[in-house]
Amino acid sequence: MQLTAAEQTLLRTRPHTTKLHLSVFQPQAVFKAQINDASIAQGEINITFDNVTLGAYTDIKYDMMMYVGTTPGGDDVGRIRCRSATSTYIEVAENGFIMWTDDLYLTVVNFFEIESKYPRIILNTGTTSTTWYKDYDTPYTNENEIFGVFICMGSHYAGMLNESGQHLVYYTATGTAHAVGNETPDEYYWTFEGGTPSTYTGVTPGWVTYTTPGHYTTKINVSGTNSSYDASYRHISIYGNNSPPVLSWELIKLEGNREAGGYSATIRIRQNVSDNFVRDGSLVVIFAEDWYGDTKQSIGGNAPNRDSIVFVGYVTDGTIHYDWKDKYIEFEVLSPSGVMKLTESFAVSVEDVDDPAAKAAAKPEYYPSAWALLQYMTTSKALYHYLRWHSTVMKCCDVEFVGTKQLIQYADFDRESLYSAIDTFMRSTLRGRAVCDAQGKFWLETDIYTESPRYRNPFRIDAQDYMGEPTVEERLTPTVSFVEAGGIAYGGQTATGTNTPYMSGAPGSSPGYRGTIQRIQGLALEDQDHLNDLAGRIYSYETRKYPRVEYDMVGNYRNFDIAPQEQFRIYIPSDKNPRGSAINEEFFVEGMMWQYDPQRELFLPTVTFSQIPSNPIQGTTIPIPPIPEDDDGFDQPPIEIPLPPIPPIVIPSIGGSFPIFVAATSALDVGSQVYYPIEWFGAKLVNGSDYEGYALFASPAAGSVTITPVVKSTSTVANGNLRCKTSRTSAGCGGTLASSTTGYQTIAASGDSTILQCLSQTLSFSAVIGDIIQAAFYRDGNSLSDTVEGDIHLLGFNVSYA
Amino acid sequence: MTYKINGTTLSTQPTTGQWMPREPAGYDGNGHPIYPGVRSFELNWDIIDASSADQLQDWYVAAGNTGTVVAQLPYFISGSYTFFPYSGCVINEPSFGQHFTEHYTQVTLLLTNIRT
Repeated sequence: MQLTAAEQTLLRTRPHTTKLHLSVFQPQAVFKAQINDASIAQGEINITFDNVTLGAYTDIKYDMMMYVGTTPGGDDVGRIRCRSATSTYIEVAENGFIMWTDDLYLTVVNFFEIESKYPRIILNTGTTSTTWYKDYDTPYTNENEIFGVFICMGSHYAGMLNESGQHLVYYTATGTAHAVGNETPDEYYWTFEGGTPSTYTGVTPGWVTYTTPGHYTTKINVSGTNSSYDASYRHISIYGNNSPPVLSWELIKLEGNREAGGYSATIRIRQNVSDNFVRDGSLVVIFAEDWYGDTKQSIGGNAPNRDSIVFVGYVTDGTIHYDWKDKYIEFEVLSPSGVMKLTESFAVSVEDVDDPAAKAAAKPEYYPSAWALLQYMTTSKALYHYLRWHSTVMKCCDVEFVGTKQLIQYADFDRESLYSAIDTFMRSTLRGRAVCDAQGKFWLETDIYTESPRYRNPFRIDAQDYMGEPTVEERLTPTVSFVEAGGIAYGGQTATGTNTPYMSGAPGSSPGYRGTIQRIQGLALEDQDHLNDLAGRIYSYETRKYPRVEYDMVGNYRNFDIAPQEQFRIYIPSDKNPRGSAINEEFFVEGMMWQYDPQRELFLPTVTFSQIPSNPIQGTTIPIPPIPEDDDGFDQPPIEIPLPPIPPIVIPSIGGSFPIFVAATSALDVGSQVYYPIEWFGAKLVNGSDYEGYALFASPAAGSVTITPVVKSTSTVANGNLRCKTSRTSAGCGGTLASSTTGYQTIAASGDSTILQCLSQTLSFSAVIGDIIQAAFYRDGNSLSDTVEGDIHLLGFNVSYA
Repeated sequence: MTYKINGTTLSTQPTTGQWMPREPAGYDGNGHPIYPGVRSFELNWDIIDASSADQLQDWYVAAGNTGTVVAQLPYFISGSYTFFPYSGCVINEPSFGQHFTEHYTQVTLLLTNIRT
């Protein structure tokens, strides 16, 4: 926070004295009843009730919490968000974790917690189409065309009546901003339970007076000029002498940092408290009385005139621990961001269009629901959509978006948790983060080093502000050698509508010699220059020389906080730096850790700063290769591959007996004129029948060709004679068939099946290169001169040339 | 000029009283000590009777969880020896030494968080 000159003078007035007080908000019950449904089952959302002992169903408002327990007011069975109520049943959020049974006690309280709202998609009966709902049964009408506001109305609050029996609380909606760039909030309507005035219309009600101790809820309704409507609630606890806050307690730990996204505290209560005084999800406010010298005044906090509020958070589920021996209750408290980390969410994806309803109606095969389409989407609209329709975050804490409302075509929010969805979107799209300050305000900011100086805080830390010497971490070896960044400059629906990708690298075309490569993609960009600037700044930040400078402050310096980011000039003279060199650079607050000594009333922080590079380098453009035109992948560029020269084919002259073997291809039963394929040994020529075997080959040479049949007995029989002839039919391409034969001869043949026989029957004829020659071997098995008593196989022909 | 707690005079005035030296929480960058903004005062009795001891203990118990009383003590550093009622003082449990006959010896009462 920026201090006035008077505040700065006071801050440096010693001694600092701080008394911290602990408030645990006790929600007021508005409705009490019991379940009246003997058949109620797990997953029920319409809870029928009877035995109303407090209030009426009309007192139940949307998003109020309901405790479900086995005793009146108990929440041992669970707690659930209410959505609506009738005279007979309460409609709650979709659930499966509550074991509903008849006669359980229901307690609806005027309290709003951070919860998810689940979407629901149902398959339309008999079709493949779906209908989408938000928060179980909210159908789409025009929600993605009318965007509302991020409400800022101040933190949850606690304070004590003064000697006059009054306590004044300051209210303003300054900082409330529309998610749409050119829209403005129109009307603000306040309701102050327990306060005077009780209502107000306008941005800044100013001071509201409380005179009665109690726990109250303030509501604001904000409407926009575009007919948007949003609401938010803050809980106010007022204490008095007869109803004090928790008195006997210890602050074990209070610390926060930007990486964690907020603060965490561990608190111990040592006094007797009633059952359910501290519940899972209870709102905790630590507030202070401060003195600077003799002046009683609080300095600090981002919310206007809420300087006394030190920390706001919620009791983390499952951390309440009772120590019966030493008689204390201990629990952990987290900033709203911490609660969001523990809150389940659903993945949400949305796309930019000009008319969500019309687009979904026209192309249901592409756009199953208008809920998945945002009109003229920007980063802030996407964030608003997610927070508004998938959580109660904006009902429970201030939210402020600090960044460019960049046009984007797609927005994806992951499923991990409510916090992860928002933080991941900020990091990947805008190079930013989602961080809660100590008072529980949710800041959605781009990282401070990505822009020219922003929020330069003139406060200069000097030797009177810190104890001892600062701790300086100096990085001599970079941990990042190269940053490769990429993203899309989207022209939107109303402008050019173009989608231009850009890439950039830093420190330039040549990476550093030490460190890793960091790749960043998915950034929402304006143009190449924007990306080059961003890549350079990211590289400069990742390789900054002073990643950490830490101070133990001498007093209650609550003007420092982890959000929003502010730029501080830190000067450390050489004699204060153990490294011996002076430091004079810009820094921002990365983390804070508080120590409270109640006996000495000292509340002292350790503040961790991180350097903002003063002269960031500029990234360089990485050209993106053109996108191939078709969908089959990249076109192969024409590559001329010269054919290798074909060497001349030299056919060796075949002279003399140079046999080649040509195998048999088929056999013919001459009697039945049936052709048979070869068996594994050749063409079978059956005993006692007339069979002819064939071989086909091309003449590899010119000259006299001699063919000799090669046979083998199929099974061993007695030797004998074969009555057979060898013939041929041949021709060149386009030529006339020529044939010749040996005529029938009786040839001696062995009956031994292990002997390969080249018969003494040859046929010679002339041929030229390329002649197609069919050689045939005829067994006249019917002849009495054929005395080999068994089948034979024609294996083929030996062919020789002269 | 008497010591009082919550407007009631101590039935046995302390033998000695002392503003306790403050331990600095640290030293700033200029070497200046950082003192807390509150002080402590210690009352000592060499010997007191049982009823006076009971009076001290009762004040401690009565303070309960709030633990604060109005203590009239010697003014912290003034031009003259005068007493001043300091409010919001935290009363610590008195400590008692050995019994001597029917008396308590070495009794100490510490008052802290005194804004001077």
